Amino acid sequence: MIVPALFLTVAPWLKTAIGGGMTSLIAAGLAMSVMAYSLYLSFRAQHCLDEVQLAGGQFAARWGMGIGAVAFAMLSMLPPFWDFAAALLRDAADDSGASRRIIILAVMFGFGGVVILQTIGMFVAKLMWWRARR
Amino acid sequence: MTSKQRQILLGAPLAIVPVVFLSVAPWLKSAVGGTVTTWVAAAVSAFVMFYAWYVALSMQRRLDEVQRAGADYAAKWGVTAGQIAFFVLLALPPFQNLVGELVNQPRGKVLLGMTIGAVGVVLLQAIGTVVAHLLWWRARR
Repeated sequence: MIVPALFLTVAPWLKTAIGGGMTSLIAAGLAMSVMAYSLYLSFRAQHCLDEVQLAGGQFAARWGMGIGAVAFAMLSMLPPFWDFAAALLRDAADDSGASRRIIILAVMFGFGGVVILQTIGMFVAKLMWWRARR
Repeated sequence: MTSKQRQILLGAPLAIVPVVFLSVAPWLKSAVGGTVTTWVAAAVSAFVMFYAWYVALSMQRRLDEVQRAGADYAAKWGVTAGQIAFFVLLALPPFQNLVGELVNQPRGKVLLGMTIGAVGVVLLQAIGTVVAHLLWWRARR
């Protein structure tokens, strides 16, 4: 929590000091390190779980991801969601003329990209699991 | 009917329904208008999603213990790996150039939109995981 909050606080200063390109690169690096650290924390936390807790975690991982993806798809059918996304993007990109069609396309690309890569990741993980078993 | 034929029959609507909709969409648009077609598209997507869920549920019932352990492992690590892979991909300039060209717009705007979409899904998935965990514990008690 501290690292992203710290970055968001210093980001405007960083942008004026070293430029937008460098700030974007730092943001990407920071996002990746936060993700990797979260993964490490989840590894550590899972070592301390008993069998019942592990079963609960596996159930949640299996169904929670599906629920989340379906919830996003349902949300994307509601016009207020697109009003919110458009306002967010126009504000962040400093572009009040960004067309709604492009915003919908870009957000759906993001959603589709994550879901497709998750499906591929699941296939790869399953293959690896079966290989390790043999 | 063999088990494989039954599986194919069960999964067939997942391919048939979207293909049929995509084939009749242009005619539907000219006959009933764009708004109604959008609503039909939304209903078709919702049906396909829930049907896919039903197929997954009925298939998982037939798995043995070892197959179920494999599926659990894949769901836990594959999904996380996919999320990380997408954000790594977003940070790569060749991918950024590709999406910019694909949409024919300044790439910064498109990338921002994609990030909003990706973060939205990941956030809702995290909430979904917490809800599923709570439901599991409630069912256990």
